[in-house]
Amino acid sequence: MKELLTSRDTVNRWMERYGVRFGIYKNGVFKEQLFPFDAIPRQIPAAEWAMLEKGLVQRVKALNAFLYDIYHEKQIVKDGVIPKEFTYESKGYMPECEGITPAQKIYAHIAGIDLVQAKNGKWLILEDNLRIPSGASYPMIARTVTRKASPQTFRDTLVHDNRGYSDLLREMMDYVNGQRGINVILTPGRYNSAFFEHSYLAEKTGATLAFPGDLIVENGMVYYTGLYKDKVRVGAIYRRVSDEYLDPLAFEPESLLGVPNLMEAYRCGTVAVINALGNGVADDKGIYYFVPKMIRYYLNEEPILENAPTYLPFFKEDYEYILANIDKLVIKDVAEAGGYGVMFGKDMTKERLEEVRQLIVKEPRRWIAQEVVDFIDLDIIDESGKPSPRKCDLRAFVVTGETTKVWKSGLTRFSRNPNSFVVNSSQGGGFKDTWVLCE
Amino acid sequence: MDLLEYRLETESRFAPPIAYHAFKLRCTPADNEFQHVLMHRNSISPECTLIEASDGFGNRIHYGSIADEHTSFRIVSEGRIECHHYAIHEPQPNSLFLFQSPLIGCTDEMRETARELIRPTAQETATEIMHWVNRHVEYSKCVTVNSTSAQWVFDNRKGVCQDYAHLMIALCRAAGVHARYVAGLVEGEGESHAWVEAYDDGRWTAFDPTYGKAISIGYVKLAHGRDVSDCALNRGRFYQWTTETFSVKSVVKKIDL
Repeated sequence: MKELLTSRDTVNRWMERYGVRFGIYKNGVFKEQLFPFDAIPRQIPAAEWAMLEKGLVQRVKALNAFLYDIYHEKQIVKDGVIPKEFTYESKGYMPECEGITPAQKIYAHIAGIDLVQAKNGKWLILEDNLRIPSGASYPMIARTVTRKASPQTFRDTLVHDNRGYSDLLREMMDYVNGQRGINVILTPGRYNSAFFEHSYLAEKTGATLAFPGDLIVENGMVYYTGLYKDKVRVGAIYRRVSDEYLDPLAFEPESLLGVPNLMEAYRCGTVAVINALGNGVADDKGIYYFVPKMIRYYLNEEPILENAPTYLPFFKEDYEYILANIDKLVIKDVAEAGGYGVMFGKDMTKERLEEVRQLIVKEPRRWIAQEVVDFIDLDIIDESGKPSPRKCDLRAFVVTGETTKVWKSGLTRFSRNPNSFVVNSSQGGGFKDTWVLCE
Repeated sequence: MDLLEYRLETESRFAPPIAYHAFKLRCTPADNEFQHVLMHRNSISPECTLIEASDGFGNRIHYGSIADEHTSFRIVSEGRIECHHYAIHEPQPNSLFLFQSPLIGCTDEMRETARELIRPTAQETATEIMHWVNRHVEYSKCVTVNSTSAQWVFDNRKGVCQDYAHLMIALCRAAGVHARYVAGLVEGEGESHAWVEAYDDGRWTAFDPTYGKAISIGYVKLAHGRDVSDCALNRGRFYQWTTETFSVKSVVKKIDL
C-alpha cells in the first residue's frame, strides 16, 4: 500500500498519457483539466458491500417498474401514492414516450446511484441518476494504472477486479440488441465533458463509437454510415446525448447532435436505446422523496437503503418545518444537477435566507430540503504530500440486462476544499478508486 | 352528418438546394368518433418512401427522408371524411393536460383572470374563457411567431388562431379544466387552423376561440397535443445553410349528398 501511495505522481502522469480528461465550461469558455486522482482507495468490506448490493438492486428494480408504470397505466398515481404534480410537472416527463415499451422492458440500463456514509456508518442514498450517469471509466482506468504502478499492493490485498465493467455493459447491450445489428456508443463529440469516457468504453466493449451524423434512420431502422464501407444496421445505441437533443424532429429542433426520426425507430422497436428516453421523470430531486414508497408499492418489500432525511414544501407539514428551520437545512432546486442550485442554510446571510424563503413560498413544487448529513471524511494526500480529510461520496453503477447487477467498484469523489460538502466533478473535486474487498 | 372534402398543400422551397432532408408530417386525419376517414391520399415530391406511424398522443404521422439534392419539398394531403358532431369520449383524461407545457405557462395575473371565469361546470368555464379570449385578443398577423407563449399573448392581447388557442388553454388549465391544443383544417379556404378541446364529464368537446364559438361540424382534426410544439404539421431537418420559404394552402368543402 505504501508503494501505491508514493506512486501518485506516476499514476497521474499515466492518466495524462491516456487522456483522462474532464472538460468543463466556465464563463462560456471550454477548458479541459485532469480529473485529479488520489491514490488512497476507498475500501469497502465484503459484508458491507453485500448489504449495499442488495439495497441497490432493490432500488433500481423499483425505479424500472415505476418508469414502465408512468408511461403506461400510471397506477401509482391513480392509487394516490405519488401526487400527479410530481410526474406531469417534472421536466423529465416526456409525453412523446407514452405507450412505448423499450426492448426487454428495461428503462434504466445503467443507473448511477450516489450514496454517502454517515458518521455512524450508515449508508444513505443521495441521488439517483438514470439518464446518462457518467464516471465509470475513471476507476476502471485508475485500477489499470495503479496495478502497473504498484503490482505488489494487489498481491497483498484481495480486491475484486473492476475491469469487468465493460463485460457488464457488453452483455447488457447484446441482451437488448437481440442480434438485430451492431452496438454503438453515440457521443456528442470531443467537446463533451465525458468524451474520454465515451471513446474508452467503446474500445473496451467492442462497440462502435458514433458521432452525430454517423447514424441515419431509413425505413424505420437505424444505420451506421461509416466512412469505410456501406451502412450497417444498428441494434442498440448506448447514447451519451441527452433526451432533448436526441431527435430534432421530436424534441429540440435546432439540435445538431441528434438523429432525425430516431424516436420513430425507437417507438416501433427496431432499435434499443440505452438508457431509455423519458427517464428524467424518475430521477429528479422531487421524485427522489418517493422512491422508498415505490419500493413498497411495486416490490412489496421494505427499503434496504434509506434516503437522506428529506422534506417537500409541497406537503403542508414539511412546508412549515422548512420555513422554520431553513438555516439548518440544505435547499435544492429539483430541476438542477451537477451541484448547481444547492444552497446551505448555515452559509446564508439573513437577507439571503429570507429570499430563499420567498422562493419556496412562491414555487413549493420546485424545491426540496434536506437535513445536512454529516458524512464521513476520507483522507487524501494533499498538495503538500500530507494526509488531509475530505468529504467523499460514492457513485455506484447498477447495470440491468437479463438480471440486475452492481459493479463491484464505483466512483468515489471528494470535494476540492477541506470544508466543502460539494463533491461534483464539475465543481472541481477529484476522485479515488473504490475497492470492494474479498472476504 | 356532413361529407367533407379536404386538401392541404404545403411547400418548402430551398435556395440554395439541400442535399439531405429528414421530415415528419402530421397531415392525415385519424379516424375517430366524429370524423370517419373515407379516403385519404398523400402525394409527395420529390418522391420518397413515407412510413406511417403514430406519436405519443395517438396522432397519425408520416415520416421519411430524402437523400437527393432538391430545391422544393411539397406534400399534398387530400381526402374525404364523414363528419359528425364534434365530441370524443374518454373515461379518464390524461392529467398532463392540466399542467404547464413548453409554450403554455401561467402568471399570477393569468391565474387571477382564470379564477374570475370559473363557472359551475367545466363546459361552462371553458365557454366563458373562450368568449373572454375572443373579446380580449385582437386578431393580427405577423406580430407573433410559432414559438410565442401564452403569457406573451395574455400581456399583449394580439395574435392569430394559434395564440388564441394557447391563451384559452392556459386559462382553462389554471381554472382546473383539462384542455389541449388541436391543429387542423376548417371549412373554407385559407391556411391551417388551431382550436381547443376541453374535457368535461367523460368527453372532449371543441371550442374555437378565434371565432368565438363552440365547434360542432366542419372541422378536420389532424393532431392534438399540449401546445403547438406537439402538433407541427410539417417538421423537417437539414444540415446546410439555405433560405427556406414556406407556404401552406388548405381547402375544405362540404359536398352534397
